[in-house]
Amino acid sequence: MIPELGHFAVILALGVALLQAIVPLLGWRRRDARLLSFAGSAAQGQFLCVAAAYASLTYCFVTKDFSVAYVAENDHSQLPLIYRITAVWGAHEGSLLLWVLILSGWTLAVSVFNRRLPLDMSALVLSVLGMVSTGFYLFILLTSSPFTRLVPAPAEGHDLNPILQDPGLAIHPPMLYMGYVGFSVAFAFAIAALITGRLDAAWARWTRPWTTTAWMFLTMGITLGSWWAYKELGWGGWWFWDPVENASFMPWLAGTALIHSLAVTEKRGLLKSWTVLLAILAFSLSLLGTFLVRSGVLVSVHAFASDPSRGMFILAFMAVVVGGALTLYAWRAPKLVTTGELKLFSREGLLLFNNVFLVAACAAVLLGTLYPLALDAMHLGKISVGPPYFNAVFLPMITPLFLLVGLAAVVPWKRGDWRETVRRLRWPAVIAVILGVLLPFALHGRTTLLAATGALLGTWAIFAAAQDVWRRMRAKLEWRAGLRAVPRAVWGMTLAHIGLGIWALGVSGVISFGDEKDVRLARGAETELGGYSFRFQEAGEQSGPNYTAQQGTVLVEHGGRVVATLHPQKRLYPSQGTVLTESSIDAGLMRDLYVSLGEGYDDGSWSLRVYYKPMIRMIWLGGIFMFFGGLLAASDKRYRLARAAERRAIEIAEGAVA
Amino acid sequence: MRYAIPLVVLVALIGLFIFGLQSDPRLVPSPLIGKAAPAFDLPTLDGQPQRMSQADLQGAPVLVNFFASWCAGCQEEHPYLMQLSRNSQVKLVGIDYKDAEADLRPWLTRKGNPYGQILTDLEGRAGIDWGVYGVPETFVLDAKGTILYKQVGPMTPEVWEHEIQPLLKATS
Amino acid sequence: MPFDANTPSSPPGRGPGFALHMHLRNAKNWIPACAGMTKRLGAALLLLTIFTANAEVETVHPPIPLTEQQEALYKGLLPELRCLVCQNESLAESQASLAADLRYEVRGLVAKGQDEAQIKKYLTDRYGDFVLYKPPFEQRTALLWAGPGLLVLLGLIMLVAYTRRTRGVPTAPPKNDEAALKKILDDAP
Repeated sequence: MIPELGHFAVILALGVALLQAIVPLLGWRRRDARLLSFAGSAAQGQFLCVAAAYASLTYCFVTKDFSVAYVAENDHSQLPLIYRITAVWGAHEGSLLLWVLILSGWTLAVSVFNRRLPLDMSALVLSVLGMVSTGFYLFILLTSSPFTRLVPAPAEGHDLNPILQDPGLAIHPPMLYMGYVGFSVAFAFAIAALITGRLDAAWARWTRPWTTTAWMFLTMGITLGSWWAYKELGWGGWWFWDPVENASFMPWLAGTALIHSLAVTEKRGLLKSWTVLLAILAFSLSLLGTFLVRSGVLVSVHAFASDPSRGMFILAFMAVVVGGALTLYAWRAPKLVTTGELKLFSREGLLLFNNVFLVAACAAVLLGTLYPLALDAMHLGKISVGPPYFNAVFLPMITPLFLLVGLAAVVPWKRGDWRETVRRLRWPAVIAVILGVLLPFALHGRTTLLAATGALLGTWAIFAAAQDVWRRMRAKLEWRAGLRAVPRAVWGMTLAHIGLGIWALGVSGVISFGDEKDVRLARGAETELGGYSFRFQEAGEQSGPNYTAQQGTVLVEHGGRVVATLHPQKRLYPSQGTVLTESSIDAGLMRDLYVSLGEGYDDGSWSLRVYYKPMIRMIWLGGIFMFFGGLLAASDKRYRLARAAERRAIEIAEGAVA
Repeated sequence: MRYAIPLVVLVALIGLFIFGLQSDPRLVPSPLIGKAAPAFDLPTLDGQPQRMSQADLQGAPVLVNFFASWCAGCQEEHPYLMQLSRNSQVKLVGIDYKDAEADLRPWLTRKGNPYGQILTDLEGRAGIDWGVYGVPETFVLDAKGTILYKQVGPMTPEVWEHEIQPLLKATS
Repeated sequence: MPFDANTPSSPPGRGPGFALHMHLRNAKNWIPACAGMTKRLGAALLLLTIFTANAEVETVHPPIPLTEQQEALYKGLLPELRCLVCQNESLAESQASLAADLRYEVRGLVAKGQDEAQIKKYLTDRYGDFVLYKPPFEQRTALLWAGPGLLVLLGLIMLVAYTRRTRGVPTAPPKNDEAALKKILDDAP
């Protein structure tokens, strides 16, 4: 009964979404405020329907209703409750339901927060979101319903893929989808602007907090994904340049470019057509990611079970949505031309440089990801494009961004002043050069070109960003007052840029000085790595809630002192007959010690993989900084001004009634 | 005009993806096609003769089938291989890949032996030289020992009739 | 002493639970699953494997000692080589048994004093260019390698052209002052 209700709720949501797409458009043609304001109610109704559908699938998982095919595939009676709840998005069908839940959540948020927008703008935005939702509901109902029954119902479920039974992965997809889907709002704003032809500073101001919010979730989603892969895949890598990762990284790059070009459009009223194009691109790349992950056109480590009919549907959907948007763009964008001088050495000029490098980097990732497919299509043979290519191409492409980041806060709008710039940045520059040379030696006793460059660029980004806050703090007589006067938007930018610097330190550190070893150790034997000695004590049996494990004990010593006891496991999940290596990590800001278990031998010895990963935590710490930077920027006061005014008006009105 | 460039790029990408949906990204073409069969020297299962090398494959067209008793795809193609061995003139040589003899013999007894000769590649060295990356894989060799075709995955009637037979006809 | 274990995988029939896994993995061997997530094959294959209780013989490779220089070459090479049976993993990462065999081959070639180009040729002769994660520069990959640079160049040219075009153009008054914004907001129908 419950799954049928869920299925029905999705059908209902489809109907509401269709109305939400069509009625406001009619209202806009007829200039009918009643039809326009229907969009908001539809958005709320749609959310209720999807929430009901989502709740019923969760109910099926929690109550282990194996008569539902999707539940039987991904649930198990021994699965801990928390993973029964997260298993809802453990495979294709359910994750799609999570996708539409989040999409309708964003739609709901737009309908609530956009009350201060012109009614036609807000209604058109909701209409576009309704169109996007319609496509996804059709996708669910036609190809991927999670509510299909299985007759006869099996006695036991097939279980959630054990590799997904991990807290990192439990929250990674929702975060990622918040980002992917969030870009649909910027997309909808762009389409609404193209339709109405109203694309001004106010439009940019409305769009900015939505974009920033989506971006910060995407940042967090990617960060969590990287952290999960590091700890779960068992060989210490944190980024693989896998097609699926690239699929999430491309919208991030486009979204980052969008955030920066929106600033230009808001402050200077320039670059309108470019900004609109980026808004369309960011969401289009999200859709592209969905296609790549779910269609099976590319071989990937973490793709969903693929199905060409699904691939065909998303492709057709993408063609309609993106094709429609770009056609509208080709038709309307020429009318958005704005005049105004833009100097290369000004904040907007530097932001444009930023856009050039970000978009080029994004295009390079796309090129590398699709190149093998393109060659194959032209019958030029099968090749692989992997991490060595991307590292060689991508790192040089983003290096100029670090130089720009340092200038960001210093160069004013319209016209920069070289002398002032040099005056304010000389200390950060001097510090960066000194640390670039010394830091690798101080931390690791030697240096490489990459390590020095990373330390230089990283500390440059950090200190140049910090000097802006420092200067603002010093501008007031009392430093606390100065600190309080720093707007949240500035805090946000500063934190995000510091995050980028921290990330660079981490990346260059771990690539330059990370080390690893494959060893076979007998009981009591030890091996040396990165100045630590790893002693293999013993291996024994362990059991968890739904697995049994062989667990090794490895004692790590440094300078004669035990610094960590690690327990790498090799788990057998009998439900799927899967064996997983569960690595054991002693984490620290400056270094991780990482051990994973290989094979056991008859003589009691085991093969182990031992890793020394200096500064790897900084990679994710950088991501966390960027997330909070986004949070602060999105909650800046100026986005709330209008709402505060609105609230005052309401208070006055209520006062009059009382 | 330049505002239409993104649209053009999109159309190209969609064309690319339509192609992508119809091809299997996992199939890797062999660089050995058109070349002489790689050298090997492997023991035979029945010991008559004791060992065989690539030179022993020459003289008539032959199918070289890498298989193993532990592989599911091999079970799938096995009935068809039996049928081929009965109805076709072409010689079938099996190379048993990383398989224990103790597992293989009962498997053959139970299911039947379609092979004219079985070689055992216990360590998978010959597999590497032939570029095998999963079993079953089947190579088609002409009378001179040149590799004409490679089938990755189970042999099927479609592949036999539409790909392999025409090739064999063309060479004979 | 360290030795190149490289997951020299277990001989068949060790430990009941782990043996089951080996069958499962090997059962799917022609679409082999590595650490990846091919899950759907599950139920159907389970049936098949129950009566084929045979296991792939996994070769135990003896250690090959390398000099420090050779070790560096070996470690540098592995991430550039693609494991063919896997979804998308390098030889350094993969736990597939073919990957272990190939690691052993590569290590052996390194020990024989072969250089990077020779080892890559050894692999491409057998498996084709697909094994190289870093495709060599040639006619068909020219765009792949030159593309990123061209993109940056194109972007910079467009940027400079844009600033040239707008030189001296009077700037439209920025609409970002609160009064103008408020007016726009108030214009709402």
